[in-house]
Amino acid sequence: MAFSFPASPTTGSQYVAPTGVIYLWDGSWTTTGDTQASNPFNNSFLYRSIYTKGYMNGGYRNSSPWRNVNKTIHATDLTSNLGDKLVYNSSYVGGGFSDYRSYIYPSTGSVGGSGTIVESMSMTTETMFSLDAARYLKSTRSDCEALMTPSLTSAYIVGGGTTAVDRHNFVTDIMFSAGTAPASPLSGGTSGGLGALFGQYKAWISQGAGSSFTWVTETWATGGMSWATDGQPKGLSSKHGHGYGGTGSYAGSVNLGKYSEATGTNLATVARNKTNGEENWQIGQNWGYLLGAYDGGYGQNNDAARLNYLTDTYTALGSDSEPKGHDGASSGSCATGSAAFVGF
Amino acid sequence: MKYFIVRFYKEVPQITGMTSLTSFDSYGVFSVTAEAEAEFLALDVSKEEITEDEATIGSKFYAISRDYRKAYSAVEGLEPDEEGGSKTKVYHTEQTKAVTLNLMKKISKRRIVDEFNRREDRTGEESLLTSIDAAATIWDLNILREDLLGVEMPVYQAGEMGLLDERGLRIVPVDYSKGF
Repeated sequence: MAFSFPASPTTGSQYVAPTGVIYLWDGSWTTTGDTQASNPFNNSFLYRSIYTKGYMNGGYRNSSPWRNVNKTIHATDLTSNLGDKLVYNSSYVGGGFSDYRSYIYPSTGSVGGSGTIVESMSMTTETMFSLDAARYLKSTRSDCEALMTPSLTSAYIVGGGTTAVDRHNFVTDIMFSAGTAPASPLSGGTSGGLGALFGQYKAWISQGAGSSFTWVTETWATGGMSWATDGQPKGLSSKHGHGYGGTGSYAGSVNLGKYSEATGTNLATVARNKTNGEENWQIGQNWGYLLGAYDGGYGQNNDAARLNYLTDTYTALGSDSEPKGHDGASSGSCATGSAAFVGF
Repeated sequence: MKYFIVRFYKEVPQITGMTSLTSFDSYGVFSVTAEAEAEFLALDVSKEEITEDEATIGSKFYAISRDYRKAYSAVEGLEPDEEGGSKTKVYHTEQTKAVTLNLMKKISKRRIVDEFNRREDRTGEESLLTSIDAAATIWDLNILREDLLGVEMPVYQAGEMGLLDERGLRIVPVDYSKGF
């Protein structure tokens, strides 16, 4: 590999070659053979786990909330219906996931209902865990969102018609009250809905106005990232320092905004093939999925698409990828699993 | 402008003038301009032309077996049914029932034919198609779609048919393993 040493070194200057080998200037460039690892897998946030599959839970079409779970294999874009696994029909919900389990906040058995019940499924065996009051939300909520911490050891549950925040400890599977968030926008809009994005350092909420939550200090700050007027366009997070969300109201927008995790600013606009809101977004490793949405003109649908985080390319997908078992589902929830933890 | 139901299995090709309207039961509903028609028809995919009413009205009422669909008032420019509410009931007419039933039959039958095109044995295909053709109402077709194709009927219909328990859950689980 050809590389160029710095032109004007002084004694003690150090140069790390693209090969990772460290060179020192002592009148000439010399090395003891020490290396600085250039292994990209040292990025522990990006590569702690490799997302390989996900689940789309419930959702509804025309007043019918569903109970089934659709599984998507990210390597092949294939979605299959696992059947009616949920304990209750589920829609207008927030989705969460640890390394091992999926979660639904809250499952009410109705469309747009309020409640505290939290359902959970093993992503290894794809069986539901028994309902457990210790896991239930501390505040009654409707269309809330879950913000997952970088290590996937807990989630902060926000919105859904209240400014109260709950923290779900995934290790002990116990829910705690975690104070309150800024009043606007964190109670949510219509049905308590709001858009949410989360990453390595921060999480963001938006419903008309925006707020951010910093993981390391567990503090809220108001301002920034304004989208999702009534809280219906949802957010697609990534592990790449940015996320995506539509603008507007129920039916969302044709284009998506690409938002910086660090600053909340709009970095770019991503064109979609059609308008959609109330999306079921499923996070992936280098690309995420839309798996059912509400398109305004025709209602809740089974649209499927793949959004590449690295290229911002949005690709409409066909029936292999679409959710199955019903004729449309928006306002469901998604969870993502890693092969290293839960098998393929 | 023409309208089609199309089954794309993998990625949906981007053709200027071919617009995705919505998607049901593994089929997309697309509008296609005259300029895009030749390129669209050249695609080697399962497709069938439908009427404008089937595309624009039938899609909105797809599988709705009760008297009305619920629309977001703000999206469709309607007055909410309840003060401070966000939804409005839009009622079926004889026309909406007819075009919706037609669209559902076309998609269901094409789904059957396409599946049997992938199989070596076409045993049972004709009886399935005959059953779909014989459905007189959206209600009846919802039952057939669930029983024959493994597509769950609306929850309110299942309730009226006595298929739900006191918690609103199906007493006998839906069988999704019909192979479609």
